[in-house]
Amino acid sequence: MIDALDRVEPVARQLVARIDAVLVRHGAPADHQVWSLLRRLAVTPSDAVEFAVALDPGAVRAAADRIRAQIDRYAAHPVPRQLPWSGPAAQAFAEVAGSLAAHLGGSASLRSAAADPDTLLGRLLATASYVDDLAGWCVRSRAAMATTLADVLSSAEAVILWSTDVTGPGAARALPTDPMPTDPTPAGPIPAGPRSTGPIPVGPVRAGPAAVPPIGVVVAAADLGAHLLAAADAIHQAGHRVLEAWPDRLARLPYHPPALSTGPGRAAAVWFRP
Amino acid sequence: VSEAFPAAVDALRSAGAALAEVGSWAAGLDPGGRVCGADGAGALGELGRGLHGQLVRAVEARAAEAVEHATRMQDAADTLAAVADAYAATDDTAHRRHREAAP
Repeated sequence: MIDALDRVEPVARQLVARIDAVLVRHGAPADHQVWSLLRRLAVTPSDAVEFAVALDPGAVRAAADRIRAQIDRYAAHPVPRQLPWSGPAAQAFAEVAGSLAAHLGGSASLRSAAADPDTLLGRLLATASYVDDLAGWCVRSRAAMATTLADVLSSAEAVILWSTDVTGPGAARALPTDPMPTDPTPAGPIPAGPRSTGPIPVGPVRAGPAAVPPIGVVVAAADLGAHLLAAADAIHQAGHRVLEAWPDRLARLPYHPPALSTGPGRAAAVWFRP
Repeated sequence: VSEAFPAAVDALRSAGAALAEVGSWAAGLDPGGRVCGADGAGALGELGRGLHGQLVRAVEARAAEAVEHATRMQDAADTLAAVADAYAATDDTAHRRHREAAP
């Protein structure tokens, strides 16, 4: 199903590539917030957008649906707990059958959010719920990135970047229509000092020999890059909340066999109820 | 009583078979890491791999639990079937002796 990100990302792709190109080639003001985001996420704005684009909530949700379909399979085959007989062997069978049924999970708990988590059914439901949670995060992440890209596309900073050649020889030179005044003291390329995140992979944009861009272009790219990376940071934090909320409920469930109240010597004795 | 045993054995075997199918089904469930962002770069890709890994481990755990419990169900069915056979043999012997002792 087409969503907002599918529509806006192709429109914004070239602009985001320009943001990357300016950041990689010319850096950003030393005290700009884009630096902390680059260090924390270790991705360029293009990487962040590509990450959101790759998320496929439909495929994830289909997996959750397939997990839930198994619940009916469990419910269709209840474990018999009672037989018309009595005696030590009958009691032993009832205890074993009761334990097997309890480990599987009662039919009353089927599809219930309150199902006992320490049953196979409870773990199956928890697994489906985790995958649902994951799909929901994919949906929210894509929507958040779409909104951010729309903000970026409609920003004044985008106009500055569109008005600047950052891709050809003598890149990042202000075009005649550049609305921003040329600043004689640009921020300069990304320094190799302690604030640098190190080399950042460049996307498809190819730049010519190093050129000094107007400071307005550098600041605009840094602002837009920070806006995109802040959205990615929120997506990252939300994803970690999903990741950390589930491990206990998804762990493998051990089976504890019943301590039979009848000894093996008496198990052969069976009395059938009339 | 004699009909209750086969019915219970069949019920246990059916429950075990259903669980075994869950075990085999789970192996093909993985939607792939890319849809969770596992192919991404930097911390985002690391997160995607974590989310996808958790999904895979959970599904593998469900499959293993189901297969193990299927085996327990089958064992219980086998035990009950053995008891039912022993009961039937004892019943036949008692009937035969009763007929032989009759005038």
